[in-house]
Amino acid sequence: MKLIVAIVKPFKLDDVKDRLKTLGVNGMTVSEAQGFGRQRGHTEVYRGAEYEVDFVPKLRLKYSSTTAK
Amino acid sequence: MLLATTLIPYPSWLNTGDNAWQLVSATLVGLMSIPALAVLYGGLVQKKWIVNTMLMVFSAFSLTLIVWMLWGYNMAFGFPQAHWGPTGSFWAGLIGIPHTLFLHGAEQNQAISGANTLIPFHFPTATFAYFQFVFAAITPILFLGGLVGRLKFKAWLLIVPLWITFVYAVNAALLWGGGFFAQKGAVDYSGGYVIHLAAGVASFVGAAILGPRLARDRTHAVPSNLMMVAVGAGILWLGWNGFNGGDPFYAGVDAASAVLNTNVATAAGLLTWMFMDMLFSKQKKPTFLGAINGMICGLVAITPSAGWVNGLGAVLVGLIASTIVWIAWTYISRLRPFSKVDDALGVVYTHGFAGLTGGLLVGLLADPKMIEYGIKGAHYTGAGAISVGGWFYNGHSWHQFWEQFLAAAWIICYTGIMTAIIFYIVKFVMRGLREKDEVLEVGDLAIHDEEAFPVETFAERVNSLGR
Repeated sequence: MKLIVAIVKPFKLDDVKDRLKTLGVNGMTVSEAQGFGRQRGHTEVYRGAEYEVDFVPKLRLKYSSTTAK
Repeated sequence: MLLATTLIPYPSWLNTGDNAWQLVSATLVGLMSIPALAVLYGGLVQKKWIVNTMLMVFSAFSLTLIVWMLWGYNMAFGFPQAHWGPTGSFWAGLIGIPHTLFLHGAEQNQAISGANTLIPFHFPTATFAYFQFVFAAITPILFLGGLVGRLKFKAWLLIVPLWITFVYAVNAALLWGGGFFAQKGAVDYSGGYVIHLAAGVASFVGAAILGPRLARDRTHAVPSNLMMVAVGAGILWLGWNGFNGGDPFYAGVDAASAVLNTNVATAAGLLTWMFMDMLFSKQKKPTFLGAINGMICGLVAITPSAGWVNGLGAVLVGLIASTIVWIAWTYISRLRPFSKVDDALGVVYTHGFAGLTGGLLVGLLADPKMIEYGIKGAHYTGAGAISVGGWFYNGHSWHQFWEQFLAAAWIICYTGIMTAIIFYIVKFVMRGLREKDEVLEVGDLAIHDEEAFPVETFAERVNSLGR
């Protein structure tokens, strides 16, 4: 049995979840997270002031699997 | 039961339409402070400053009303005025004699004021005093925008009554209460100078004396909630129908003109800022908070002229003011002394620059055919009707512009100097104007033991469940 932790882009959750279901995974925990990697951050502008936002929204999935993938 | 006498619901001098409109207008203006500025400023500050900002707004509103009842109203609008010097001199009508509004006559008698001796008011003093109170209250609440995020709470509780007494009441008496500038011919329809220019100056001077927010806060000063800014801004815009629509003091033709002009200038101001952002900002994108800045520029700039310009004038006021303030916000803010002062929410731009621009534009764009108080008849224009003429409409005379300039110079100098004196006095009495740095790092929780969005899961009741 293995505990698997995956970080995915928020809009990818449905695809990942559906695929894992078909693979027999029958439970998972999802939490919101902020992170950065190769994907670059972005700039936000409030009242003329620019703010660099390195962290982008991510989802952190945790599920257990009995079969090694 | 048959009565020997016939009861009447109101005295003969009262006009129900005027009284009703004046009370509605006053309520609309009150809504601009609470909740509009509470949630607008609360939405613009960082999450950790929301509670502190909102409580400062609500406590300033309350403090101003108590001061108003005790002495403020009669200082600003009391009639007759104190004779501090010979009739016609600057000192003659500087302020009214301070006294309370506590006796029955002070609420129920017909309103009488140096503000308007042309036609008797058709409502009681209670109506007039409440209407004038909501204008007084919003002024310190506006300049609070420059001070949020480091001002000591106790200092604020002292700044408000002192500022209302020594700055607001004096400016109001001089321009509205029949004082020197009113006699000279300077005009301010509903507070472009007395409220907005004064708030802009006080915000800037106050912020300069107070010092900047923590460097960490300034580098992370993102607004806490743009939806709350939308709620506040919307109430502010439509509340302004009372702000400007209430200032003729009669529910008549000019009240209607003032309401329409206010909305026209505001729409023009909002769109101008949005297009400036799309065309000239670094990102070339429209921004919501930019549009709201433009909206406020339009509202503020039309305030000194709302019922004295025609529809074209209203469009121009919004367009010109929004353009000037956009340029000031973007470029002048980089120059000294503006670059050296942390006016947290930029009150000196959207209220100071916009109020000054609007006040001076009266001297250019006021149309003498826009009648505030008329002569009898269906069209009620004619010799003796009360209106204001600007350069474009009065044979290119600079007279009105010059009067507007002099009044602006007074407001800027007097408000600047007195605000500085008040801040230094409060600094001395309260042993500092700022919360300690370790308190500033935490914000709301350190000052009030409250936070804007408490998390139920982590909160466990300590004391017994009864109160």
